Amino acid sequence: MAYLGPFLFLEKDSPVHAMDPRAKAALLAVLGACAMAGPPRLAVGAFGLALSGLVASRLPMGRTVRGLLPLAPLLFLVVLARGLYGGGEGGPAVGWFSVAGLAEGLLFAFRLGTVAVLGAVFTGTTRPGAVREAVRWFLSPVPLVPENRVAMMMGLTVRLVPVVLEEASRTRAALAARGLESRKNSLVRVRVLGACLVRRVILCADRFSLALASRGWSENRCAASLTLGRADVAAACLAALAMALAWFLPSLAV
Amino acid sequence: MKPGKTRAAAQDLPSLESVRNMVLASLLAALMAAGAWIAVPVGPVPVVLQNMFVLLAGLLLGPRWGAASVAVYLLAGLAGLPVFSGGGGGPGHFLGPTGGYLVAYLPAVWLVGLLSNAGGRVQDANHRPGRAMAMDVLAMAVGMILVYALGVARLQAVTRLPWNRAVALGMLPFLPGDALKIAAAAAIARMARPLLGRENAPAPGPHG
Repeated sequence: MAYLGPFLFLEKDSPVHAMDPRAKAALLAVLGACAMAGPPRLAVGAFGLALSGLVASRLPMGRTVRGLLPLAPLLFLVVLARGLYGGGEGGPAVGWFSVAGLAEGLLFAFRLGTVAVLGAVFTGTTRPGAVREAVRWFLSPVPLVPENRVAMMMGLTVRLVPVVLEEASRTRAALAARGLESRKNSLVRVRVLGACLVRRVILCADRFSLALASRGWSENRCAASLTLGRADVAAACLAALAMALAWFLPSLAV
Repeated sequence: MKPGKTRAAAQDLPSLESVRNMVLASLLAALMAAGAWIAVPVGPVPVVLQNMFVLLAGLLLGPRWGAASVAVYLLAGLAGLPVFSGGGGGPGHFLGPTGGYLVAYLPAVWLVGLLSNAGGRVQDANHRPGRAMAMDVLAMAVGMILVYALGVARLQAVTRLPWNRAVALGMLPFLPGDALKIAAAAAIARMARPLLGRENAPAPGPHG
C-alpha cells in the first residue's frame, strides 16, 4: 500500500506553515503552471523555489523523499516512452531510444517531479481544514456553485482517503487469506475487490449521512476567518523575483 | 428557542436523501483518489482502479451527483491535494500532457450517468435486467471513448507527437485493462444498486 506520509499535514513552527492557505494555493497554481507549461528555465526556477519552500518549511527531508519514491517508476517509464516514441528521427540514437526523445523525457520527468515537490510542501504545511476554507473563498464569487457544500464534500473526501486505503488494505488481506490472489481470472480479482470496497463505502455513507443529519448539519455555517499577512506578500514578491531571475539570467549569460 | 425560530431552522436543514447523496459523492471521490494507489496485478502488469471508480460514480449516482463527485475529486487535485495518480496534485497536472484525461472525466461521468439512467428506465419498463446491464456496459464504453478522445488530443497537442504515436502511447496499452474494468464495474454496479435503494432486488454478495 502506498506511503502517503509526505502528503499529510505535519505541525511545525515555520514561515511556510504560517502563510495564508489562499496565498499558498495561488503560489502553487502559478509555480505549477510555470513548471508544467513554461520554458525549461522557468521550470528550473519553480524547482528552486519548491526546494527552498521545502527547506523553509522544516518538513523532514527523509520523509518527503521516501514519500516521493513511488513516483520514481512512473517518471522512469515516462523517460523510456519518450525515448522510444519521442522526436529526433534521424538524429543520434542509443539502441532503440532516440537521444532527443530521452532528453524530452528527462525534461518532462523533471517537470512532474517539481510539481510533486510543490504538492508535498503545500499539503505538508497546510491543514486540510485550511485548504477547505481556501477553496470556499475561491469559489464564493462563482455563480451557481454552492461553495459551502463543495467545501464540505472536499473536506470529507480528503479525510476519507486514508480510511479507504486502510479499508482496501484490510480487504485485500482478507481476500488473500481466502485464496483470491491465486485466482488466475483477473476479472474475478478486480470485481471482488471493487465490490467489497464499494459495499463498505455505501454502508459507511449511510452511517455518515445519518450522523450528519441527526446533528443538524446545514450549509449555513460560519466560515473560518483567513487573513493575508506581511509574510504572504513577502513570499509572493520573493517568488516573483525568483521567477524573473530564472527568466532573464540565462539570456544575459548567453 | 421559540417555536417559530425552531421551524425556520428546521426548514434550512437539507433532507436526509440530499445529505446521503452528498456523502456518497464525497466517498466515491475518496475512492477515486485512493484508486490511484490500489493496483491489481493483471498478468505481469499492475492495473490501477481509479478510472473504474470514476465510471462507477456515473452508474451509481447518476449524471448530476456523479459529475459532482468527479468535480470534487478534480477540485481537490486542483487545490494541490495529492489525489492524482502517483500522489500528485496541483494545477500543473491539468496543464501537462495528461491533463486531457483528467478534464474528460467530468463530461464522461455525466454521459455514463445519463445513458445508464436510460438503461434503468428500459429495465423498469420491460423487466429485463440483462438489457440494463448491456446499457451500463455501452455507457461506460462511450464514456471511455470520450476520455481517450480528449486525453489523446491533449497529449498530442502538448507533445507534438504524430497522431499514430500519440494513440500508441496514450491509448492502446490501456485498452485491455479498461475492458476488464468495464466488465468488473458493470457487475459491481449490479451488486451495489440494491444497497443504494435504487432497485428492489435483494443485494447479492460480492462473490456473485
